[in-house]
Amino acid sequence: MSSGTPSSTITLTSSDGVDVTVERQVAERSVLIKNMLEDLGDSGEAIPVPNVNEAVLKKVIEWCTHHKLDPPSAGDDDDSRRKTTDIDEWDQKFMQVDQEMLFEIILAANYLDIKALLDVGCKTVANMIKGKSPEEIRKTFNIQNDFTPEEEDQIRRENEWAEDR
Amino acid sequence: MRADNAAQCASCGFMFTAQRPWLAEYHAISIAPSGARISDTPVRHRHKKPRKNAPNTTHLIHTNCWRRLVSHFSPDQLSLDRLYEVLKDLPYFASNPGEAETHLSYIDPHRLPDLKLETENALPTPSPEVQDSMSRASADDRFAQLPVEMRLEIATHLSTSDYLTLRYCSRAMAAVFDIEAFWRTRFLVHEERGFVSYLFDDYPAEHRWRLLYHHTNLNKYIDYINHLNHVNPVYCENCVNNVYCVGHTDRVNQPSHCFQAMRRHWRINTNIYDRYYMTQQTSTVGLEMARKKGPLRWKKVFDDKYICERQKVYGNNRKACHRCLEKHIYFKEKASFSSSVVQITFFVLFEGEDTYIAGLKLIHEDSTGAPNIQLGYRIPGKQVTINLSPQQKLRGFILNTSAHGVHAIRSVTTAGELDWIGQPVGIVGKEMGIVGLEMGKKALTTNRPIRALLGTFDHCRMTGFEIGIARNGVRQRGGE
Repeated sequence: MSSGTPSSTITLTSSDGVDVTVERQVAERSVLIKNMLEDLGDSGEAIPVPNVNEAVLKKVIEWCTHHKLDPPSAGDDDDSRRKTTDIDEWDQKFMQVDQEMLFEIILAANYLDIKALLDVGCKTVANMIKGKSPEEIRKTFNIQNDFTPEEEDQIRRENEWAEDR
Repeated sequence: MRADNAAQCASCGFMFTAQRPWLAEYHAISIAPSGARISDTPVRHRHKKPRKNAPNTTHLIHTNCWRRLVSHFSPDQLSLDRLYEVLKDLPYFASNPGEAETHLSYIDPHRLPDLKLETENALPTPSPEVQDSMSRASADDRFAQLPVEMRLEIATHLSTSDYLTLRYCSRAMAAVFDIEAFWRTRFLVHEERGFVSYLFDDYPAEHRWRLLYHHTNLNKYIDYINHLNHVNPVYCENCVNNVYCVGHTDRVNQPSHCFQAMRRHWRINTNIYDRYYMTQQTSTVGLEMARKKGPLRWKKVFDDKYICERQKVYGNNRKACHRCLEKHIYFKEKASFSSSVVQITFFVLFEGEDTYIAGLKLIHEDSTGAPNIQLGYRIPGKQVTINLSPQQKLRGFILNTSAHGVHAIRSVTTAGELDWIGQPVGIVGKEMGIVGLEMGKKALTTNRPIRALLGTFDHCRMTGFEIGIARNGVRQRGGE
């Protein structure tokens, strides 16, 4: 390979010190890594990803590999776009992971600046909440009810204010 | 071009009249051998004697309503062919008996209400102790590990009702309540306050959106408006509505006919939008998988009936539907069911004050490699998912039905009954005294493993539902 051509693969080092080799095009789904590659040039050195462990990094790479040919999403920052909780079939299967992994993926997508993956993660969590009662939500996310009666009363009054008058 | 015999706007349902400028001009969407087309220049209303029972080939839409409809679809390009088909099957919303809005008239688009946000009913403020304790995160609250922007992002994908429910469970998520950007999303065109979205296009992000949300609630006022309308009508000169009007009378927290009319129109456009993007799955995998289950005994909740809701004559086949003289779409879809199904996603169609189950999707555990199977229709963004597990096995469903279809569904599992999906109480039914539209809850449950599901569908809704169990069952529990 000539020195002027960027290599087709790069190495990422996870927070637990594991090197993962990945196609450059796949890694560039992450805006953070893309910017780092542009800034650092093609040094061939492993890029540290200090906030993401190996298991999560591999999962994120799996997503990026599947979506590597996707066109860059236009208007992602436009807050007037339609907010739907509709998730692509493949993404829906991809997100069938335990909750700890799901939240880790969301955090990793945020850190690595992968807007589309972050979007899918947030939609998945939203879908786990939709249509459920407080008890069902607590059960789904394993949250103990530690609200005091005063706190519950305050929330109830605020909710009623928002919904009605 | 012929104005048809039911000359109402396809989008707002109101008539065409030369007496009001904004109700006089319309476009015509017509069908020709080369496809659907829309008249370029607005047509001015004039009376024409309708031809009786002649097949209709035209939908009429006010010029102002057309602009609203296009903005509903923006930035997507509208396919006129698809839109024509959607409009053809659209029921006549204006005559919907449950709407306490039949007295409403179209608002002058040039004199829309202007909300003033000063209010005496301030948000209830918490005591310092509660404020302090609410700011502390619970130890096991997963949402606390997310930065506030991501909590906001999750909340924006929820309906306000779902978000407010979540507030009782997570202190971290409860805090989103104070972020104006969250309330701003409620006013996007496809969200619940979308009916006033075009009033606030130019409002800055830091606007008091939460207060605006509070002021634009209508649900509580419908009965009150009816009461006032009968007892003491007060006329608003600006918008041709009788009774109080928020924007035009400075009565900030009084019910508004303007908003009601705007919401009604918006709901019809939303229904058109959902029907437009509704899709079927063409795969026959589910059917093949169901066949492998062998002979099954089927339990169903109600006989398949169909009441045509079209308002016009579209065909000339007198042996087909007696009302529209065309043959209707009507089909059954089947899929096998097993413990590898970990989620069921239901798609809900909102129609006026009613809801209908349009379809469902069975999501299999990833490791099984089985494809997800869709029955009926998928509506983007209008789904509700339930989870199944070895501790929560499916034992059947309770359905809220009428002759128009399944309005709401409730899954029954070994862990108990889950919440209703869709509105379990509709506006049509016994209380309206309409023959053939009695709505009722019907159980479809079994204590044996469910082997397959079968749905019957019309052009947009589920009209029948069946569960298949093994034939060698001894005795089945559950009512029909």
